[in-house]
Amino acid sequence: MNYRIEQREHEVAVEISGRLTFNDHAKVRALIEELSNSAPLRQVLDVRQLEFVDSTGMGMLLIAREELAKVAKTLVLYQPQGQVKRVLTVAELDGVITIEN
Amino acid sequence: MRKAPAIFASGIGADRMGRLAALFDVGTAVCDVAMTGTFSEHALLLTASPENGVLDDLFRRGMGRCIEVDGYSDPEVREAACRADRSDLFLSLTTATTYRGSVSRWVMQGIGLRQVLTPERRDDIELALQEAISNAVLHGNLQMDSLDGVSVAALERFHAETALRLELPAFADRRVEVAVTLGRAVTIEVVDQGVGYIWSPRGGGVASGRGIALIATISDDFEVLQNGRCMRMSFAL
Repeated sequence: MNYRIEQREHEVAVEISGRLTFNDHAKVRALIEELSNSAPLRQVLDVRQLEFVDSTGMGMLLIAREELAKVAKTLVLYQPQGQVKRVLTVAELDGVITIEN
Repeated sequence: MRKAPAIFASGIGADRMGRLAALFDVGTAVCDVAMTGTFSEHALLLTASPENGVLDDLFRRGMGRCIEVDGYSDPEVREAACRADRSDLFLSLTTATTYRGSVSRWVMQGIGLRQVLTPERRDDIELALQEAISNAVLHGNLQMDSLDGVSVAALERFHAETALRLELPAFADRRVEVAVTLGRAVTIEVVDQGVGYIWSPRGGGVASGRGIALIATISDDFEVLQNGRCMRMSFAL
């Protein structure tokens, strides 16, 4: 998994690409830290380029959401595609995490 | 009768390769893997601990069976080769290599070259396979418990303990084996060498433990065998 953070006026946008799986926890941890320390309250994970995610990867996104909620920030998944969209449905996470299409 | 496999080697010293060649049938050619070109369906790769990207490339070029010989004795390599011979696709890798690699992607590349799948079917099989592999690595061979909370602190603890165990040969050298047979269905077995577990359809939290539930939902049939060390999943075509 790779990510790129873009600071905008009222939000932070993070473009995530590649595969997000069980061996990516160090990167997710670093990402959560960067997001926690950035000022905007709205944090958008742009997952259009994310090709594949497993349940551990989804779990890590839920941890991100939880940690950001502690500092009154909201996390939004932006435009999940293909396999990522499918996992959100199959794992019934589409009601748990905010998704914008 | 199956054709004798063409055996390819990668990163294995001449001494060991000579001993391994002697274990296979007389006349079986063993050659160093080439940088370009494709492989026949009978090809078998014997490799030292592969560097990132090597297996990715070889599976894209048609290699379907691979045994990591590091951590295996010569007879163990021969036995694994017999199991490989009964499968259309086969990988026997150490936990350390499986952890670092993208095994589910390599296997899906192999399946994709041998079987037409719709993108949806492909995605589902890859997810189920990925879940079974992550289960075999983390909870099977590394004997990790699930995350103990939905927090960065819990993630940190999990990461630190995983990294620690990956440095210990007693955990890191355990094998993960993936065997695929193709026919009217895609059947995949993922086997680990952990202590096993008793699967219960209940259980599983929000941030972890969803893996087997996902497999149950996605596959047409699945069984937990060998006291939890083997997951067998089928996907009708």
